[in-house]
Amino acid sequence: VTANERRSCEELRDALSDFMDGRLEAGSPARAAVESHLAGCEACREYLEDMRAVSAAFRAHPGDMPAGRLEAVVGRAMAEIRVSRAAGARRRRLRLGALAAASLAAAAVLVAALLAFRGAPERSGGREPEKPAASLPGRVSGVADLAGEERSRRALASWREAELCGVERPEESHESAGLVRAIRMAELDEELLAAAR
Amino acid sequence: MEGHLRSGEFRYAEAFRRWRAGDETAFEDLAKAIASRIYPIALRALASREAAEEATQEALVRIYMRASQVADPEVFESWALKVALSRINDRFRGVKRFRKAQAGLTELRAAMGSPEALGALEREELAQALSEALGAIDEKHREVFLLREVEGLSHREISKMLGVPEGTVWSRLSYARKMLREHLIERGMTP
Repeated sequence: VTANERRSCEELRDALSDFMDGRLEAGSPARAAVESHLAGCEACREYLEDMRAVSAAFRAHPGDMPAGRLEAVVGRAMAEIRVSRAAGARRRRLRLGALAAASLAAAAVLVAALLAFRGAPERSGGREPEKPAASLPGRVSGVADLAGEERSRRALASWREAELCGVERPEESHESAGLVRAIRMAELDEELLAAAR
Repeated sequence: MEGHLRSGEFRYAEAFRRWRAGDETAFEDLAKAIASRIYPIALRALASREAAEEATQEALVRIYMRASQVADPEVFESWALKVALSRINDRFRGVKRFRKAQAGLTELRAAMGSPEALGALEREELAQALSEALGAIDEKHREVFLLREVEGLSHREISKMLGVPEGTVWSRLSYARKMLREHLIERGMTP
């Protein structure tokens, strides 16, 4: 095979995909050139067969969902969506709650300061001025938030690790994987709420 | 609702409008239509029913969560397919699968006419080999190949969907086919 022949083979192979998909019009010089090269070059005919084989194999491979699986997959997706929407709503409520608690705390500080200022002489021997009560749940929820984040980060990391290593997850966890994730988030929300109460 | 739901048979834009208007059941209809198109692509690309089902499920969730990005209901269908493709691409990025596959181009050729002529194991190996070859080419070539060979879209439709010139679709497809062939041969799969 001469260098010239090799070059013309390479050029032809760049055009084979277009040729396969009918981009080169019948009777056009480009198509005639491909056809005459193919007629005289067995290696390029083989090459074309390979490319056709690759494409055809993808098409031939059965890809339809077995009966009942479509509904199952859509059902799982819908369940995951519902759970994570509910968790999202709970998170939003919690954020609002935290905001309300923060405003309460600020108000309490203000009132306490005002009382302390106005009633300082009479109260001097009495009970300690109360610490703003609302700051405690605020702090607790802050800590729980961090712990929760750490936990979900770890869960996510091990999840990704399993995926990276190509570990086969048991059927049960596969079926409920998305749900488990969403439920875990919902549980964290519950913990946060409990801590804030 | 089995098999392919080709565009045209299901009115994505109409269902999307109903969903926008607050009808949650409309999303379920959309989800079924989308899943029946995504799954065959995912299965051929990932060569595993489990992975294909997971990718489909994840794509549906992602589509639901991000649909507020879609301003024009008419583009929802191609947008959703793009989201699904990116989910499939994510799996290629994350999962390194280097299992030995014995299937060769000889088997590929045998499978061309009659895939049923192959034994279950051979078919499995073939699917695995194709999936690995797909994993070895980059995203932009892979998605054009999948849209053309599995979704059966025309070059023009792919160009519109991906927002690239039609000439780019032709050249990416050509490159993808050449690279897939090379990867299969590189793995000792000479015919």
